[in-house]
Amino acid sequence: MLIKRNLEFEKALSEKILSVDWTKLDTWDRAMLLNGAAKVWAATGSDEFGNILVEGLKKCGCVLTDSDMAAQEDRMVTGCDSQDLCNFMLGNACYAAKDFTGESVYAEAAKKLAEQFNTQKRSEAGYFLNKEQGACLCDTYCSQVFYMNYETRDGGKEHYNDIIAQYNSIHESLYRDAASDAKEACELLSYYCAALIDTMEVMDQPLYEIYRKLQDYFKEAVKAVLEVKYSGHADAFSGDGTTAASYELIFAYAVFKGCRMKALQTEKYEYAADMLYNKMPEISSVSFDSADGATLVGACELVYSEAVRNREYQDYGRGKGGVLWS
Amino acid sequence: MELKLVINTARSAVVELTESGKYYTYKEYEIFVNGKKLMESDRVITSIYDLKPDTDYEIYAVYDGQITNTVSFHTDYEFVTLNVREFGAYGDGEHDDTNAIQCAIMACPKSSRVLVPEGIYKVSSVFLKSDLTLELAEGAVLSAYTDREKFPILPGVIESYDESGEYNLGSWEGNPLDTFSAILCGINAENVVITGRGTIDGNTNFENWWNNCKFRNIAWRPRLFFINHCSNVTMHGITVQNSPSWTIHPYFSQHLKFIDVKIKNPANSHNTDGLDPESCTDVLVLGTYISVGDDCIAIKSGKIYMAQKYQVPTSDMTVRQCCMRDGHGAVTVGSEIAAGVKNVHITDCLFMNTDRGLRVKTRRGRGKLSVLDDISFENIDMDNVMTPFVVNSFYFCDPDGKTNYVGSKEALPVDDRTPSIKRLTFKNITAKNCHVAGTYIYGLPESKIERLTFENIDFSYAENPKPGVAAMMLGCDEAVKQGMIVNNVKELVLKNVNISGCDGEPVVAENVDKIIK
Repeated sequence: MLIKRNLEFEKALSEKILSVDWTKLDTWDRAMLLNGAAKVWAATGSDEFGNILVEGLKKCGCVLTDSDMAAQEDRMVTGCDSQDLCNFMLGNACYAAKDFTGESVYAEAAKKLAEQFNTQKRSEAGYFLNKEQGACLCDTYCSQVFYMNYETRDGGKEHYNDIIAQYNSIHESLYRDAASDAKEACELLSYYCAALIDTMEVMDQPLYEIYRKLQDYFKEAVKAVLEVKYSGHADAFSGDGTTAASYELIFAYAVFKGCRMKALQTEKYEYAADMLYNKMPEISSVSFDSADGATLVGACELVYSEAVRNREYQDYGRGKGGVLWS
Repeated sequence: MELKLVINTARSAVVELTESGKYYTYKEYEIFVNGKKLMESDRVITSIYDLKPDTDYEIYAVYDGQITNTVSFHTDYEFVTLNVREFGAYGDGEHDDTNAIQCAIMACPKSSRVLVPEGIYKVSSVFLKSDLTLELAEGAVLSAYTDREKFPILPGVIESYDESGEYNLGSWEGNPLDTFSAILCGINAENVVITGRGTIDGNTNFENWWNNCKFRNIAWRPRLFFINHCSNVTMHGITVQNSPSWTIHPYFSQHLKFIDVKIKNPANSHNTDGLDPESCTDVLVLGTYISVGDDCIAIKSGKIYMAQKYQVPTSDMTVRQCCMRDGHGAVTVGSEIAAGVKNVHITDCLFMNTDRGLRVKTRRGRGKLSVLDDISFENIDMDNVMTPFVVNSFYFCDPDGKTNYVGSKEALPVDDRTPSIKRLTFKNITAKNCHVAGTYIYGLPESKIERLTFENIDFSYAENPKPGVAAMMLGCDEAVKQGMIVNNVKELVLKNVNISGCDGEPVVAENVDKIIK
């Protein structure tokens, strides 16, 4: 099913984001809103969301003047811990801003953020640890997408093998643990699904054995979430009459995108995303004062951006660059 | 000297004059058909056209005043000829004739031919079907559009509904990726002959397909000729030129013949290999001329994913009486050879002006299925080839190509990622006007080349040799007039090997377990 653009919704979305006080948000929330805006811009071509992205990055201190950079060589993002994996999410927003504006300062900001890969502490199995020196399946959404994005654009792809090695370790440990009790772990699994499909999107597909491995992990994770929904644990998803939680919208985003990228069969999987998409909350009712407010708005941006993209087999807009990168 | 019949169809035949030279005969000779002189030839392999179906023929040659034996044969039965003009093709170089030609092909019954008469036929992508003879007459040109919007796309992978299997159509450099369909394309077809004196012209230049060609644009570039899971396919006589990418790409196909084909791409064109059989079995390349911008013949078997999933090497291939010039490699094995290559024999060929004669490109990470075995070169004349034989087990392709894992000259543990090379044989080879080195052979220290045989070999060097890099591997620097560099080989056989005029030691063999002279 192709969902047409909803200009009223976009208007409500942009008004909501424009009302945010960026200084009150942590890095995760900032990144969710900014990456969401980037995706809406990419899907719709709406300059309004591109401008939100650029202005937001500036207000978050991600793009600094030369003198600022000299003063803050080791901390590009104002107020961020240097081991915070969420910093990497801002890197994706920086690259999107480069695409929107064409200005190299944003790519430079992304490259500066990527320097953190060299110092990020790792587990014994080799994957990145978070600032608490722990590991969570959802960390993949913070770190691995930007790692791949950076490697594809500026890293010479030399660390693709490191990325897939991290995913292999994560899948065998963190994912297996989460999937063993998928009902409890639906939120983690949803972010993991989004991480995998986003990582696939920004990689060079001719490294096919890596691409395909990510796809296999993605499908497995999607099925694990759906298994929860349709095997007596229906309460893992929001029930009828309720609105979707942010992680459910993230899952819907991943499924929509998986269908578009042919990682999932549209006719078999799109329904799940549709169902959750239709439970998207009224944007005007979401408050940034609530703990999950910014994440929820960011998730709404993401799922909307994929919902309006064409997932039909016969008309995937090849004039716009084909299936994967349209 | 003997005249032999190679093949015949309803309308043509191919003969071979044995022991008369390599690709070109030492002298021009005459061919007589049913007692009348038909033509003169200076080729060992010669095509004879304009025969009639279901008819007896006797052919002999007169070479240097001597009459050869007579070859007798009966041409095939032919039911009907479907002239594409009668199906609406214009052949005026302006109208799009794709549909008319496709209609004729789809309507063609068994034992019949689709005839493309003289004219220029604009086409995008034409598809073959089983039991088809497609003849491009003299002066007929299938002239391809270069607008990518006109080309269909072959999806790389289509997953089965039950998600247990997949259907692979497109292929790009060893992986199942979305690719524009070829100008002439066959999927699951068998018993196909493409014959005639006509031309398929890709019309590619640096304004279209070769522009920014390292990047996918909608889909990957089309081949000029692509067959996927086809059987009993013969391409004979035609000229193929200016290909968007690899020119002739048989893929997971078997029982293939390429006879008296002319493959021509500009020397500076990108990735325009001449003929790249990938995971194919029983391939004959005979009397074919190849001058291209990349490797003349590149034998492949996919990258890791396809190799592990299907495990189909390229095997049982013969290249004979061919002329290859102006490419990076005359015959290359690699680099996408993750399923291995075996039983490949190249004989009686001319290699001219190529960077390398044999070029093996492999690296750690290709995997344990990547076994190269029983590959031989025999009776080859090379002229102006920079380095006649290069075996590079450290080829620095792919994103990790320059990592320590790929480039280390220290022995690493043998595991599932380690490729291997078993037997390579070179006999009766003259290479004159070499520039960089006679051979540059580098096996892996942990998986040495098992047996390397050189017998009756003459290397000599150009008067003004050009320096160059023999192999694309870390640590291989520019050099000139080196002799035989051999490294990491279990058994090296050197019998009657003559190296005249090299700088330094004629043979530098390191980490070679045993040398037999």
